[in-house]
Amino acid sequence: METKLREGKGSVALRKSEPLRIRTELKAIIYLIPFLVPFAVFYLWPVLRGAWMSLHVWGIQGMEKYVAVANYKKIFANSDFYLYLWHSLYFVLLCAPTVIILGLVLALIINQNIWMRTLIRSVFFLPYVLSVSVISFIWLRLFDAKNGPVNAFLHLIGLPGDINWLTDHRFVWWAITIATDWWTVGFVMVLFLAGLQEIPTDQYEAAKIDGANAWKRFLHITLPGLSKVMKIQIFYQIISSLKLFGQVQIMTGGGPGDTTNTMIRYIYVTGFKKDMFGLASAQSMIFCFIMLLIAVIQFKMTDRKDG
Amino acid sequence: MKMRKKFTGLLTAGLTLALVMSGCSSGTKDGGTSSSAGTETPKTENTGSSPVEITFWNMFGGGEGDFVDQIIKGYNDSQKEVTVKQLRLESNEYYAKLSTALSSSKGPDVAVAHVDRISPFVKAKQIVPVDELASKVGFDLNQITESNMKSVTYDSKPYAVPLDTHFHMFYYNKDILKKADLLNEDGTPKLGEMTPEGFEKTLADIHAKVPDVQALAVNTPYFQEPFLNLYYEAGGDILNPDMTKAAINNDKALNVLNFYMDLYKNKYSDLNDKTPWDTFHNGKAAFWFGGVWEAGLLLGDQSLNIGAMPLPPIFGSQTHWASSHTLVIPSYVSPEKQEAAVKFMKYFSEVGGKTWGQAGHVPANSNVTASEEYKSLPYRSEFIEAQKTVKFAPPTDKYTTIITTISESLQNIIFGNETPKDGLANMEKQINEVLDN
Amino acid sequence: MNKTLLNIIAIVLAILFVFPLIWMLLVSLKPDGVNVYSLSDWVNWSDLNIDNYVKVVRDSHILRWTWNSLVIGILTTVISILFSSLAAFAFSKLPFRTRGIFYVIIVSGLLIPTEAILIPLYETALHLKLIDNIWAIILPGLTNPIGILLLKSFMDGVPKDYIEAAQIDGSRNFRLWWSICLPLTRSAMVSVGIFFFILSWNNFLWPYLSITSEENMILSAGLPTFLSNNTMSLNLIMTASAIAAIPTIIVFILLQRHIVQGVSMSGVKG
Repeated sequence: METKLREGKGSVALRKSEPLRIRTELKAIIYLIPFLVPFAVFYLWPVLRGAWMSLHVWGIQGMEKYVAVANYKKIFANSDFYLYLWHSLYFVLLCAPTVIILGLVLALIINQNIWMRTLIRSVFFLPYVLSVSVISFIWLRLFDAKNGPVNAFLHLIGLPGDINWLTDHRFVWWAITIATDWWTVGFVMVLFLAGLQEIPTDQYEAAKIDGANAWKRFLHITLPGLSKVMKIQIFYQIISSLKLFGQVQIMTGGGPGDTTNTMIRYIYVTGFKKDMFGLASAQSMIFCFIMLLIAVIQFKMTDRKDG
Repeated sequence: MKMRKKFTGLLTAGLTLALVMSGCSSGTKDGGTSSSAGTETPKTENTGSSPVEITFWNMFGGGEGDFVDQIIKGYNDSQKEVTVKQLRLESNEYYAKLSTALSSSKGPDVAVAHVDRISPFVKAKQIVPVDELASKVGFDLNQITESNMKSVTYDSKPYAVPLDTHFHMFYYNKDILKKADLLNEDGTPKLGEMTPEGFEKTLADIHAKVPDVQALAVNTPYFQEPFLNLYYEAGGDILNPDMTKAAINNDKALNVLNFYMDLYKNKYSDLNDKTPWDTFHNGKAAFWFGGVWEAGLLLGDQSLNIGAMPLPPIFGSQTHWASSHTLVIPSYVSPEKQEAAVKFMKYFSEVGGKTWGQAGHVPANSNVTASEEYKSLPYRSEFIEAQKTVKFAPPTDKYTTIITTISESLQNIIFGNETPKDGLANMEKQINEVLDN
Repeated sequence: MNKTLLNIIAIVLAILFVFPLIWMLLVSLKPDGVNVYSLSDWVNWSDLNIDNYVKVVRDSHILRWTWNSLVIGILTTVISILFSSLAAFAFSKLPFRTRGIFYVIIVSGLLIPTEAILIPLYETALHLKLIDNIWAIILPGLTNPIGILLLKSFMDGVPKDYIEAAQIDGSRNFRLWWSICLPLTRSAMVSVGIFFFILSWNNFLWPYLSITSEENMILSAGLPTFLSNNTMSLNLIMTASAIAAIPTIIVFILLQRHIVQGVSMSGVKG
């Protein structure tokens, strides 16, 4: 994605010398219009509108009064905000590395000449096509403390007592992470597979002749060869982990207590369950800002590595 | 290249299909909410030949849901003018959905709302007064108990039809109590001294003698209800009398919280039980502060051997939490459908009230509660007794926000994310912020 | 590494991966109240029946939701691809000076997800009277710029000669797009389309908020509305989940090669 961006900029620079001709401009812009109209109404406008709403007390009756930055002050003065922000980041730290490592391992396995290769690849990918509510309901029940097969299995291998996966704050994040990893790892795997196929096999042959063992070959050929895919993956996983909502909404309702309340669920509860849309808009704006920040850091980092 | 051909074929097929279907779906769109998936309702004028179809939203699950189904079926079978179709939503998300529906003018033609939730809807003019509509269809609102009627009246106009008063009862499992030697000859429980310590001792006895069940199943997922019951018993209030400040951060609340925390800690109650109502129903708990609405389910089946009595005054008084279900009509509903909706309300109150009484709610229609039929239901004298000491929510239009805040904070406290002391202080701060706006 | 060992690891992992789905199917076919817990439950197939399926289909709008999900998915995908392709064509083949500005504006759409603008988006939909209308789901689904980025990179690969030759023939821009760029990027469009369809099919939060009546819900948002875990039996929850999952699984099995290819292409390039 980042390469594309630069390409875009490059071609702009090329054409800078041309004079601005309204007709040529319009003839091109007309092709952008179909996309731009919904984009403006359902993306750009809500962002601006959200900024405006965040400066007001806004209830179910609509706008009540202008309060300037009072909503923001309230949010920053409330410890819940920092907690839920931390929860969102915590989930990124749990989910992004696990899903990427697991996806890489699966891709490396599938990339070998194993039995029933296509079938096994499909099995790993299959959960990804299910919707979030389906996977959440399945895992809600699998993790059931008393009647769930997960605990049944743990009993079988000799673990005494029940683990309260969804009501014990030591385990609940792991439960959500396991469910999410199972759901999305196929996607990660498929991307790594595509990346692996782009690495020329003669590099491996050469390394073998040089006497490099499997681990060294992985470290010096495979990993660098995957670096582009890896960067995309990291970025994508960070964003999608930050967006966590469906799994917690269905599996835990944010609980136990507020242990699994995330930024998105915080916004949802403030807006739709407490009817405080102004405050919720301010939360949204802060969340947007954090997303932008992450994107900027990402661009900067990849830029430096490339250059 | 061959593959590509196939793809194009697929894409073209998809496009055609999409266009055809968009035609279909916009067709149903015109019908609005009145056309349902399977049934084909002709879109002609309603001249008596085809019934008016109205959508009824509620959050009744479990035991009470079956009774609502009966009432709706009874109504649909009893006449040909109106067909009621229901949408049952999850109770935890119900008000998020209802307020979305009301502000977008897309949703039910008649809906259930708790009495403590209607005030913001009235203020936003999202629901209509029901008095004129009622007199139009010959529905005499005077049958409804005055106190119930008063609770839905704003500027001397009633904005809802109260269906019931509901609160919690103290249910006990006689089989378990017998095993624990705590059952009297007449089938009532021996509860010992009526103090937190005394009650805990009773629970300890049960826990010692019947260790494989919970002594008291606590409604952990909706913990605000068991909390408010005992907090009201202790004489507490959510807000100060003029409703300008929170009044919840005090020793009474702290004692109640510590009491419950003790129960969890000593394993008299299971903190991790996500469905305590099922636990009690399945005979895996000795006591249960259960809603009157569970009476049909719990007391109707003799083999369960369950009894009920008013909540014991563990924290002093008999005062306990209560609320009331009401029916409201959104203002976006067409006059024709409003009339249909109020006809359904009339039926629900006058005829359905009997069924509703069987479910366990104390009907708001005084004709129903006065009937022999109602009085002959099991334990109903206990219900009438318990109803005398109920306490409703403070009548503020910020109640939705406040109760959501309270229930969230309570979850935090009982799951150990906050100490009871900090939790209450936090709760007070947040409620005050809400009230200041 | 030892080949046999690797094979065994792969198979064990694969079994672990399908286990939840098999469990779901098994429970959904068991009578109400019967759990699949111990090993003996797993192999006892004598009481399997489809009563739960009959009950769920009868008592809910689940088939309707599946249909809605399909309609919305296809409409979003097809419209998105067409619009994205048009825009990609302009960025790739048409010389205009403001394109840098437009490109940056559109790419900025990648940075903020719908979830982050939930509240104002809801307000907007409310004002446009879109709440409880399937277009409330489709229209915001058209704002994903990823299609433009991908299709542009493919159109950049269309040789200049083709375009120039056509221009000499006097073809207008629209013909250039329709008869040259569109056919040459067909496979890319299918890939992007599959990706968009999966995104739409799995969209949860926004449909959950913007649809209020049962008839207009989509599967992902309808399920939790229908299944409050307080009142539903384990078996019925799993039956409803299975009904939601089965069409997806079948489609996936039929088209798995294209789906995997489509997703990986969109993902890598994106």
